[in-house]
Amino acid sequence: MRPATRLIRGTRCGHDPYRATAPPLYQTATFAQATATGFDAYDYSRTDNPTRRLVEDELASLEGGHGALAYSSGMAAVAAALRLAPTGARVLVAQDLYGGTERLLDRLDLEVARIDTTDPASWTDAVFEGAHLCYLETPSNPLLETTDLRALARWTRRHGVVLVVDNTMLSPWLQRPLELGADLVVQSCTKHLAGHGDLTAGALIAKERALYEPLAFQRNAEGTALAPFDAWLLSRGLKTLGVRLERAQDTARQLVKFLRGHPAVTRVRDVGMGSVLAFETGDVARSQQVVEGTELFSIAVSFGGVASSISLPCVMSHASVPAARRSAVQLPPDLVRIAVGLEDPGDLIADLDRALSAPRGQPRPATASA
Amino acid sequence: MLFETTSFRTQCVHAGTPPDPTTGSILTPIHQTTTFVQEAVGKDRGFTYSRAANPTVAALEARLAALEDAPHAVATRTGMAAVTTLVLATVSAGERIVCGRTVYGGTVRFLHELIAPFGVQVDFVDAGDNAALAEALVEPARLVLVESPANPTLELCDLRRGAELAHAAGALFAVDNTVLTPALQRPLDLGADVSVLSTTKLIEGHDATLGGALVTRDEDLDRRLRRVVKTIGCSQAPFDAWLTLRGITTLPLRAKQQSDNARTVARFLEGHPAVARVAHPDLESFPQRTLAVQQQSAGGPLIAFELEGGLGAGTELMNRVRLCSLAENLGAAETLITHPASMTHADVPPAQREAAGITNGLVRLSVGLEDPQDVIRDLREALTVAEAALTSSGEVTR
Repeated sequence: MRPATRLIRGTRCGHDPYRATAPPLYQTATFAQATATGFDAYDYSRTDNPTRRLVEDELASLEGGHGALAYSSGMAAVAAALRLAPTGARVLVAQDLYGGTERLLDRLDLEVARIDTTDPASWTDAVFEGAHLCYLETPSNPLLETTDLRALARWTRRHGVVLVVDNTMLSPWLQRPLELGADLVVQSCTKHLAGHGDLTAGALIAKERALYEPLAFQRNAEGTALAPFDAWLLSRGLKTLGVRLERAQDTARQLVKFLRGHPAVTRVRDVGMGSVLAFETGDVARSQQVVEGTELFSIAVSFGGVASSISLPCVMSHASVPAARRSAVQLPPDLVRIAVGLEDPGDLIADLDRALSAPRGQPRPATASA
Repeated sequence: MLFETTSFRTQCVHAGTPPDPTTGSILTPIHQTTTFVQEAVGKDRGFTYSRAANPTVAALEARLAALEDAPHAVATRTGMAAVTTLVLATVSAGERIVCGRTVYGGTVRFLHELIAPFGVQVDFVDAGDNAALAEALVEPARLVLVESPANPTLELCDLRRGAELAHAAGALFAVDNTVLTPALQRPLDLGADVSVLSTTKLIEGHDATLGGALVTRDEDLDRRLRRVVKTIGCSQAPFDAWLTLRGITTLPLRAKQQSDNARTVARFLEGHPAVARVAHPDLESFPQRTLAVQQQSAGGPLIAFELEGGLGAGTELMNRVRLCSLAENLGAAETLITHPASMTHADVPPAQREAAGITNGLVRLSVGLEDPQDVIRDLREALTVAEAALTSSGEVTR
């Protein structure tokens, strides 16, 4: 079965006696048991639920893992992954991480060591020795720097370090970290996987059963699993993952080309794939004016939805990163991040062009509105 | 609209749904409410009771209207509720409806069994033949209703000519645009007065809702349609409206991909020795290819075909496919295979089925978003197994 086919068939509920093509939504807390002494396949939705299980099996299949666990948000998944490391353990984390992850790291009782995952020359035995897990995003957000996962996995494996990769930016449609040597994949399903900006959800996909089991135990004990209805919406969104991401990626490439040729843009960052790009103008006020001057782009955090958005990461999604860390990762204050949606690329380029070409300090000329 | 743009793809994402004015929520809230508190007697904000109007349903209506460059659309609970609303709003006892003879079986059942007994004259005509349509419209009519492409044979109606003929006979021209949707065909631009949609199909596209809509640029007609919906209570539900809005955001992507996939699968079928005939508007062999190019921007997801072995072979095929699902709906994300004579069109009188070309051996395939090579492999394997089964049971001698 090819990937496009798997997206359609994977979310079909095999055990539904009525063979509905859209999966049934098991909006229930409990399941009646056949006997008093044994547990059936499902007993209580905090532990396991057929609608959630359906989307988890699909996610595990897409990422190529043993099993997946869906959580109520991306951060719930990140938190569960980071707590694989016991109190006081040494963890290696990448320089450029989502602000919410930084905020969490600040509160966890872990010995956090930074690693430049983009620079293999900086990796030595001393870096990995004694570390419990290594956590990174690739491409990173919002600087869009990539990590050679195969090379990094050789180091983590040799030192018994659990390699955890946040694959939210590209999704399994464009990148499968478990096949490149990672042990655990983190997904904020809120983004490309659900794809319509209509829910928050997260997932962990484990390569091996040995990692999956303790995570499943922990999730049940803490009660952070995804609600059945959100799991149902997520399964619905997955059907169009391929067409959405291909289209958004195509539009993103056109935007990159346009921005590279625009005189007001000093630098464009992109990795040649995916739907997120970033650019700089060399002037914070200018960048802010551009962000506020577009009409088609919502000023909003998040990405991977059908509607395009624009943001100033320094003051929005990454505001929770301490200023010292922001300067350490050299997050430029004038950096503008664009998350490309499904609108017409011509409309998006025209909108950006108007916002970029407006004289500095002047609001853009009003366009007709009814 | 909040912005100056009319690109179809952009409309699919934004039209009708500016961010929520009170919270900034990018998605329209689901107003799952029966009633709305009124400020004072006789003073409301346009919403009083959800059978008459609901903000989430109104957002869907605004988007559906924008997709056909129309000021108005009214959403209904199902596709058949849209057809019902259209007929009740436009035709009275003693008046006449001219309907294409190849239309969805539910439409035929409704007109035959529920409308004709009220003293409405219902005549079915070959809408794919301009001369036959002209002859039927020598006599005045109130409503002309056609499908193009017609479900399930894919015969086309010349919509521009059909509109002229209907208007000359004093009739409104209604086009059921369910198979192609405004992503691939714009009936109002070709002269139709109303575009009829079963949003259950390609519009919502995920096989998760039922819904219908009537889109028109005629303000008076819109007012009459709304009055019927409010009166008979066939209004769309807020939750289904919301799911349909989400579905529309990917409509252009799905419509294009499914058309491309259908063309690939149709070409495979055309080259297979067990297949007697194949219809898809993108095939060079399609009899109305010129008209298809004129009034459609792509062929759409549907394929109609018949096997050399007729009904026996078709039944074997439909029972043996594994990836394609034997199911009724069309335009869904997954590939569905249907036997119109016993399923979608079972309630069409046999003589009318025969005249319309809905033979017992006809197979309808609605191609989804799967990789078309997987669909082809499934069909090829099923055709091989079906042929072997029929040969060994002696049913086919060729």
